[in-house]
Amino acid sequence: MITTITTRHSIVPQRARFFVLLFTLFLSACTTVTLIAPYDEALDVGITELQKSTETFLIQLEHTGRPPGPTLTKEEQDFLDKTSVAITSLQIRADAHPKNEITAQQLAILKDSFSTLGELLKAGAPKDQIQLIRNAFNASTGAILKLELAKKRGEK
Amino acid sequence: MAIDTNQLLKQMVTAASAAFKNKWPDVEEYATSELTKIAEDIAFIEAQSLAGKMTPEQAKLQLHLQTNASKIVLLAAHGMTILAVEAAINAALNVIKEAVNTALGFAIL
Repeated sequence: MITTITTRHSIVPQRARFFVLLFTLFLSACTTVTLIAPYDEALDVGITELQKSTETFLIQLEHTGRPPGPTLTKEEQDFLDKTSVAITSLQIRADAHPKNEITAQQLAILKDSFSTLGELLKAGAPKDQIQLIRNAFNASTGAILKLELAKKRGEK
Repeated sequence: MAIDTNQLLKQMVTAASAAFKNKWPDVEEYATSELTKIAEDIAFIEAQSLAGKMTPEQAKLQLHLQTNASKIVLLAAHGMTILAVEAAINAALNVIKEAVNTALGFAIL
């Protein structure tokens, strides 16, 4: 009888120690929660490059404007092709990170905007309307960069 | 009838703040600043269109670019609110960590 009581009393602390250990391990694992993907320098650089190449294209367009026409010029098609390749590459990179759906959505919308730019060029873009296009792309690339930089989470 | 930029901005901000609920103050400054520029550009498109300086096709495509820009801006704002929640959770967990370590007298976490 005495042996049984001793055994029961010794089991309870063992269980308690086990749960304390389990809780401790749980807390250790949970001391940093990540709800969104980490900062990606390649995406930061890629978007910055995209902003520069778009600005270069728009500055050239601003000199003359673009009359309406059913087909794109070689320079326009080259620019849009290179841009499409660059964004696809960034999309693949963004998709590789878990919890990165927001950035992936932003890139998909940006790709659609460049496709719209192609249509707009064919519809015609007078000199005094280029600033509107610039504003839209600067707001878009700026917003993607702003979120990416925020992912640094206070790191310098 | 010409678009009232201020009224348009007010409607955009009201809709955004309702969607973001109590997280709106975290992103209000950034989102409002960006939406202001977009509202001004939308008003400019409408003015150009009414003046006959922009064809309906050009106006539609220009508006599409502005709409896309506002979507990307609001997605960035959404991401920043998630980062704010993440920071709040981690700050709370750090408090637990410090409390446990202090209670035990050594750094276990």
